Amino acid sequence: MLISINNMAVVLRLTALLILLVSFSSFAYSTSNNNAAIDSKCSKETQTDESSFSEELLVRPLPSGHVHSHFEFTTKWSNPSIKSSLESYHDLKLSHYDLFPRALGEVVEKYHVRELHLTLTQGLWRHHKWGYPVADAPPGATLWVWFNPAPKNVLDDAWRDLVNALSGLFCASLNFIDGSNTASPELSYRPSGLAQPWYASNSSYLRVAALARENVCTENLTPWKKLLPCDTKAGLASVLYPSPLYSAHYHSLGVHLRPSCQDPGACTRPQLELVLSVSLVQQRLQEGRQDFTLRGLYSSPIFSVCPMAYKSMLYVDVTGNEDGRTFSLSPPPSEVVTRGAGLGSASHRVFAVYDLQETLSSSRDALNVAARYAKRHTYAHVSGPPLVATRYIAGYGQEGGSIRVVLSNSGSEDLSVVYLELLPWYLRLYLHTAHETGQGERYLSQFVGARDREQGWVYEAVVRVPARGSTELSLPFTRALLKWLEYPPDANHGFYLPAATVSAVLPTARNITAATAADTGSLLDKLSVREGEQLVRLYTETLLVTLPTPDFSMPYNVICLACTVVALAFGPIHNITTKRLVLKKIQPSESFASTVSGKVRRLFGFKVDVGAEADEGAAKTDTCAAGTDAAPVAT
Amino acid sequence: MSPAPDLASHIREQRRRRQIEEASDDETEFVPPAAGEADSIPPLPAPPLNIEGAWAAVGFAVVLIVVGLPVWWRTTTVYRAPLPYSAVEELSGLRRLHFVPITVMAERPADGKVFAAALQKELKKPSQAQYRVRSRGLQKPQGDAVRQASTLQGLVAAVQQNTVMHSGTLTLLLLSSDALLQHKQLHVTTKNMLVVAPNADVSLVASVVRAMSLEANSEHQQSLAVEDSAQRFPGPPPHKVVSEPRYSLTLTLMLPEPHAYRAQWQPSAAIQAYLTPLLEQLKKIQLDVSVRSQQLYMTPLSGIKPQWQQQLQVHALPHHQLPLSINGIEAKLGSYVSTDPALHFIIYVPPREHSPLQILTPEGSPLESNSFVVPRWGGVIIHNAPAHNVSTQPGPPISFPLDTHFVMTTVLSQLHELLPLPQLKSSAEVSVETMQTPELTQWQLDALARARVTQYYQTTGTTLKYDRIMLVRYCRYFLSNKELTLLQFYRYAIYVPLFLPVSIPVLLSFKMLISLAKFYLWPRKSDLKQD
Repeated sequence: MLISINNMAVVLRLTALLILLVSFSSFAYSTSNNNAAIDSKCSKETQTDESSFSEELLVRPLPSGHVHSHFEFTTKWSNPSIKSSLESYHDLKLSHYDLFPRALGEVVEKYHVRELHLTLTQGLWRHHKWGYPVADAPPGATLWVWFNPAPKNVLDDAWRDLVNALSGLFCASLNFIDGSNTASPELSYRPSGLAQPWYASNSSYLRVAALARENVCTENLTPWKKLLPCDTKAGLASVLYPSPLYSAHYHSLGVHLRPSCQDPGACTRPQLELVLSVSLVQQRLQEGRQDFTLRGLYSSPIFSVCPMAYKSMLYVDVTGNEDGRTFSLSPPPSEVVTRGAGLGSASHRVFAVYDLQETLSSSRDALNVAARYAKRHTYAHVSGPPLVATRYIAGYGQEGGSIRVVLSNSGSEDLSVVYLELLPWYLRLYLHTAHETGQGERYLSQFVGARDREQGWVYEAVVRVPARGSTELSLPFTRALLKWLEYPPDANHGFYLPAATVSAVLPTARNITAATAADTGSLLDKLSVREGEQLVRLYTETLLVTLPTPDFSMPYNVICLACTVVALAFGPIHNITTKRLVLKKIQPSESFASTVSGKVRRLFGFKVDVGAEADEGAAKTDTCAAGTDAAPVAT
Repeated sequence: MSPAPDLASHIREQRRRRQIEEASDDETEFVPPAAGEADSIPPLPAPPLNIEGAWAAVGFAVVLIVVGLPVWWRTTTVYRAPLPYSAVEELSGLRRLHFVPITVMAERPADGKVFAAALQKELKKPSQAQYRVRSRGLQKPQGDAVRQASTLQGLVAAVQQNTVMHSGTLTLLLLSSDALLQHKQLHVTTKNMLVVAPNADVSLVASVVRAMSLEANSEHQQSLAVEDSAQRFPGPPPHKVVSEPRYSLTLTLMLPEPHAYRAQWQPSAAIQAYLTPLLEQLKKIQLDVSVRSQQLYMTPLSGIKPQWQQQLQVHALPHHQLPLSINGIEAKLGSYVSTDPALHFIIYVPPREHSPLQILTPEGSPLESNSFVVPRWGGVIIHNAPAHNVSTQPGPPISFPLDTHFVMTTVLSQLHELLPLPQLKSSAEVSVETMQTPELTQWQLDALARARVTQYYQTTGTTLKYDRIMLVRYCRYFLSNKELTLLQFYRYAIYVPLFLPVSIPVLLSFKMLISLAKFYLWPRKSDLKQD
């Protein structure tokens, strides 16, 4: 038994390496080939500064009746300085900006950034109903950055300053990212752009952090739009109105900066690529049909293209609807593009392509693409993608609990899955019992224990998910007590745990929506997936745990109560020590008015005549107790 | 506590005795009051003064004021950083002068001595600089150079080659004949040297020396827009930028209609050719300027309403609209990483409906440079697209090269405006040699260095104050997570239930203090009578 487990561990370890290789094998370019290629190119290359901008939109009706829209704005920039910086892993030197946004460029340049991925998301992507997205993003804010090689303390400082700069740039609370929620996982976040193996396998240059509680709204969209060369004054970005955006079931803003290559295939000429994306999932059933129009989706048709864009495209995914029986498009597309290895193959995709520059220049009307369905939408079982992850909190009470994740594989092959948890330090994990409900087949690739207020938990493991089966993992925990100033506002709401990351290499491209490689220069390239193994990165649900929360008004209550008691005691003490009881003659009362005037005059310290004093004494005896001959009067 | 214990005890003793008497009187004379007899009861004597109680009240009041108030003040006060106020005061109180050594080199040493003495006397008048004039004769190579020179330029070049001139000093070459000067009295070279005619007016030389060594106030500001905007932006008197160690300079090409016009230009080449020599010079006086450029599309200058001028065939931009135009684009110009002060130079290609755009002077004539300076901010240059048939039909954009020479020379002259540089103009008596490259002359650079020193001293006081407070507050309150401690209000308010009920009886007992004071200071007749 022991031996078999050991063997299994070795197998899983190998799979981990395989995943690592697959994730960047398609674009890992070897030094020797590359240098030769560069030498030959150098003579031909003109030392010019080139930048290009393109805008693309994918509209994809989903089997669940929703419509997925994915906007992608790509800016590419190449010049000799960028090329040499990217090849030598040095900081970028960007001085003369054209289409690339200066606000972001200055941040990238100053903080040693090589690759940067930021997503701001509201809502949860439902993998089992919607399939895999173009780029997955968990609820809240997620930032992962690959820095240029530098000592750890330099990178830690750069990361701290970078999150603050980005938080100012995007009006997001990224400044809450600190050492306690930052990690450098080994396998889950490999560089998505150009990287040589020595760099891509050194996770000390990587920083990952997630803020699950971050709310995303127009204040993030406005600065995001400012990074576009045409802002929102023209082009596809001009249809990004906040109200349809923020009433969607899911929306995600993305900023992805990476080094990519200009020449597909050979991949020898690096360039800087910035992809700004918006993903939306909306449901606008009309009379039970899944009909949609651009106006209906975004409250506006497309009426212009960005003049700076060399390409403005709209793609409608018509895979499985090549004959137009399910729905028809009007106006008809400029062309229908078929990609993949033929009908029936796993990579078969068909897109209706609208060239917006051509369409909008030939007619003066705005473009309002409409899809009309032949039948009413029937809600039925949707066959989900092969790998799906579900995460939840088990347990009850305020002491313990456990984080459970169920990884299900509906495919016909066993899958090796990299599972990454980044958890805050105030959960105390119990690892000796971890995964007790699973089959125990796992290879722990990285584990970092939490230190209070300094370091969160990092738990990265490779687990095997059997074909047509599932694996359930469990991480038991107890809750720590925080100091009273460490609680966030509205602490009774609970504490969000960031989503777990699940990465796997799927055997076929059947369910993959988009695949990013170093030479994919446009959205259509990403959508045209290749046959064979594909890497997917999924995010699970975020979780909400309640920690024991004190009554925050308590200190104030105690202070107020103590003060009141002291004050109550002080009054009599003051009276006893400063005043004296003397006997006073009782005088019958004359009238109420004289009593009041006597009191008022006494209050202001006037000399009080005896008559008034006597009146008061009499009044007191009348009201209080008869029979005493004198009343105490304080002097 | 008691000022006169023997007196107090004496009085207390008397009081007690009297009270006992009064009480016994009451007891003996007491008759139960009957109805209707109230009027007939004789008035009682005033209640006796409670000396012990009054002293107790004094004690409470003293404890409250001496102990309570400071404790409350200390616990609820807002933290403030201690500042070296005295040092700041001292710094701003001192008057500092620049020291400018002047050497008069004369062909005839006797003339030189006389001239130097006269010049020293002339330069004695109070100013920001202190001048020291020395004279000496020519050394042999210099003398040879003067004798052999056939042109003024040749003379200057030959003498400068043979003379060591330190930066920050001035050298006056006093000739014995004015043949080379062509009847001008004075020639200002690009280095720290002046060539003076033998019969030159000493007061004229002195005024030129003053003008060279420090920037005069506003007499040399030629541009109309500068004066106008200077009036419109009231601020601290020096409108110029000098005091910071680093500046970031941004050249922004604004194309509000990229679908109509495309401008081609190579910012890196232009900056290399026109700005880099100047920036290298500025680096020598520790003024570090980093240069970037960017292009902004679809962003027009906001708030301007040009009017079509038929006789000039231009869209006229009245000068009073200029300051408003930069407000709208500010949002796109900021930096998220650099805290250096920024200088922005905008090259604006107006949209079709405003082409060609022309800035007018207040007199209504077109402004030649078609640009304006915004003090402490930068400048705006309007660069019209070449004339063509304006068509509203959509078509490919018209691509035209940007006039780099016009743009960069305007940027340079605007940069000169923004820096406190002394400017001299040639006149009937004075000829001024100008630089053939975009660099500054040596004496301008020296004056800039002096202006920086002056501004450092002027602003050190205020900067020190603001910086320290800002930094400390920022660190203590914004960067710490203890937001709850931010709430000074709570710290004050939670003591209210204690201080309010405690202080009211104490305040009310002040009446007793007054009566106690009265008792000691102005004894009443009744008290005296009983004594």
